[in-house]
Amino acid sequence: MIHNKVMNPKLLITAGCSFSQVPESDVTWPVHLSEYINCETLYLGRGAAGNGIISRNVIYNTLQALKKYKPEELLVCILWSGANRHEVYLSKHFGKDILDTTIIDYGEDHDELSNPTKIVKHKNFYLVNAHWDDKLSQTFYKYFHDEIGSYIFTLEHILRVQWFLKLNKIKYFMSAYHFDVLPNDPFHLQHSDINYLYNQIDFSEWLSVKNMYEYCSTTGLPKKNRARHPTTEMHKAFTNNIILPHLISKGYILNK
Amino acid sequence: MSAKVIVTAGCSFSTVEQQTRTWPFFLQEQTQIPTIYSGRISVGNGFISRSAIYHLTKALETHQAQDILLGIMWSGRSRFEYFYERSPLYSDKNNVRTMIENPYYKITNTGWSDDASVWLAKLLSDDIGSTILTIEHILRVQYFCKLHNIKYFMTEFYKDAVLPKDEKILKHHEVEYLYKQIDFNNFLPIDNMFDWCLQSGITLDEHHLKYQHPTQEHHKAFVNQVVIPFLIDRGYLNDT
Repeated sequence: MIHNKVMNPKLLITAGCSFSQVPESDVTWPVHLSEYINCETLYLGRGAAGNGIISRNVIYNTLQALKKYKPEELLVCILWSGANRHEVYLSKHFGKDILDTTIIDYGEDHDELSNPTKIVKHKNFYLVNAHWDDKLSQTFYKYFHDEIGSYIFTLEHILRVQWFLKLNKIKYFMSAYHFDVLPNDPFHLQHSDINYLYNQIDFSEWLSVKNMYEYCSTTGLPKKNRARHPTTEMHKAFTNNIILPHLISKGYILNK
Repeated sequence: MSAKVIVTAGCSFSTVEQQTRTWPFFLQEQTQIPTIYSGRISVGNGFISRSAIYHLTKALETHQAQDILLGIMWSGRSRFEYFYERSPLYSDKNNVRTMIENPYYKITNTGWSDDASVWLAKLLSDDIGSTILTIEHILRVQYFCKLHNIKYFMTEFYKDAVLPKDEKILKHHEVEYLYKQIDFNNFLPIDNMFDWCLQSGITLDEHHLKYQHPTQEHHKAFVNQVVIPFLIDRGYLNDT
């Protein structure tokens, strides 16, 4: 019987929304994971980003990484974001009445974390969020948002990345940041336009929790000011108790 | 080895219903292979890719992957659709399309005057943004087919409408890394169907010229002269 030799990745690629952003006000799971594995890490988490941005970031940066690394030297880790978060690509400003957007600015040192944001270069992707009151978001949600439609988009983003990673023989894990990533009630799960997509997700490559938020709320660790966001201690517990055991059991990293 | 089922997808150039007979109809007629016609008038590439993956997923429940063949003719990158079962615009029943069982998809086109089309033109008709979305739809289908070892061919319906030919767009930083992933070995050896029709020597009557659509004669010739030779050359069809 031939056993594949377990080795640590040479490059860790982590992606998601604010739960996966580096830096954040708390030390998030990608940092704890990187410290454990002790390898070069590409932190792609972006606050408020939807799954379109996350999937594009992963595919683009993985393609770039493949120019330098072999597929078996990579490990991609994704914590998917809310299904109702979207983005619009705009080359030009059409005027204030449309492009009044919610600006996020972390300064020049962290230009990639801004809104508008970028995948490759130049910030032409405009994030829209349902609770933002800018005109772009309000127009988007007034005309184009549909709960089922959003789940379809998210499932397609997840599957596009899953198929891309499998075709390229790249190790990965996925999970959800919160309850609003995947459909989770019978109405949505059995909906004909959702069901055939949902059934194609390879959940054997997902962490053994419903989502990070739910896990954190079961840890008994104290919450802080930003109630919807995990603390450093929660991120550390999530890494040690959920991510590492999964990666070790899969043979994706060495058990120290 | 010949396929046992063919899935076809596209826009009006690929729609088969009632008296409308396009290339998927003639492909079925020529090959006698059961064919699923998922082409729908005016739809964009989101709808087309979704339809293709849905029907391929269903086909995999009853067939081996090697027995399935997919044929897609991609549509205009400026065409969009959105799922609108519960959206505020659900009362507007114009220009809706059914993918699986209900007319849940509202389609929009730049140039149309309904609210959704007007706003969509402002928000999403960016040519770089449209190109990104269209290539992502193409790649999603390509990944799916390659991962499942499903044979497929792709082509474009109209010149410059699907994939841009302008080098400035193709070299754009957000487009280039996607475009380079497309496996053009699986594209038919033509630029697009309409240009092929114009060069075919078959007369395009005034009506079809005005609406820029091929005639049935064009569709039949397209199958015989382009699609089937490609499929035989690839070993996707037996040369009988």
